[in-house]
Amino acid sequence: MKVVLNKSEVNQISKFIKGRGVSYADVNAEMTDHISLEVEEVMTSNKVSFSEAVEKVFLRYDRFYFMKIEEQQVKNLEKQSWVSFKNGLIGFFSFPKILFTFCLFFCCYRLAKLDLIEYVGYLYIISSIVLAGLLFYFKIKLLGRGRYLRLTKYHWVFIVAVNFGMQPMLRMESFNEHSSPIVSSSLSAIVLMLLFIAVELYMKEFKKIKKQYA
Amino acid sequence: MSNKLYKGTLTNIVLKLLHENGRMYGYEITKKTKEQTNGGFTITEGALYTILHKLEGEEVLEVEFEIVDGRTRKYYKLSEKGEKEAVLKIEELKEFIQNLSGFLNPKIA
Repeated sequence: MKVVLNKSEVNQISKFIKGRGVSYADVNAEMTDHISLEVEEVMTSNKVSFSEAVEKVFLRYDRFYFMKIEEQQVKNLEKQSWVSFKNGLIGFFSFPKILFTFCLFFCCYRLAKLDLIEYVGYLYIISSIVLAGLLFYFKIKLLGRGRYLRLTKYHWVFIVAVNFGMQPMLRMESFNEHSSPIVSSSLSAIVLMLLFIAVELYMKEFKKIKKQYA
Repeated sequence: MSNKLYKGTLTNIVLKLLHENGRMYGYEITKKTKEQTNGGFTITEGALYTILHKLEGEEVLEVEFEIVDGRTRKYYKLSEKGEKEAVLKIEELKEFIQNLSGFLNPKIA
């Protein structure tokens, strides 16, 4: 009869893999399932205890084995995030979103012309706070730390938007004095667009994770 | 058999298995490969998961998580893009084997 590991035995395997440097939930779950299946097979065919089977199975894997798998997955996620960002950016210049982009640039330009560009600054600050709150909500309430790691691949877009926007936005007055309406409005629109792309990417990935775990 | 010989065809092997079996999980892929080749091919976990994660990142594969025997199991299946790629890769593999066979047995070719 086929042996099936109980919850505490599976937890022991999961802890062992975590102890080998795997913190990413997807990789940990996948490796735990893989090793559990191997242990079950050894227990069934060799009629040995759990600890004997675990010892035999773990001999096959060196200390950095699982870490290497995780590193590879992190690299894949980084690559994937760049591709998604590129597609997101192209999306803002393709129909129908290009109409929105045009409106965004036009509104920023009009505000700059009327000396009201600081309102874009307020919108930028509010959007950043909302986005940070959204991320906090994803992290704490919905995903759990391990799965949240998958969302962190898009943090760089958010960081770029914040860094790029923070200096001129916080010193809006002096910034406006030294730059033409076209420059200040274009910069403001680009920063807002980066924030919108970050929100879009986070939401898309979040929906994907929820669907996968449904 | 030397692992180096079939290292370049691992992706094709994984795509072929998924094309034939629908959705599969990592351990199942290693077992199936071993079974179908009577132990001739053994895919190491490191190589297999690297390929699976890479193909997942390229959106060639879609993933689903399911709770089986109290633990999370990650299933892989071909996406629409992956189905097309699998057909191409299988053809490529067949052609490669045919060419290699012709090279090794010039009289038959």
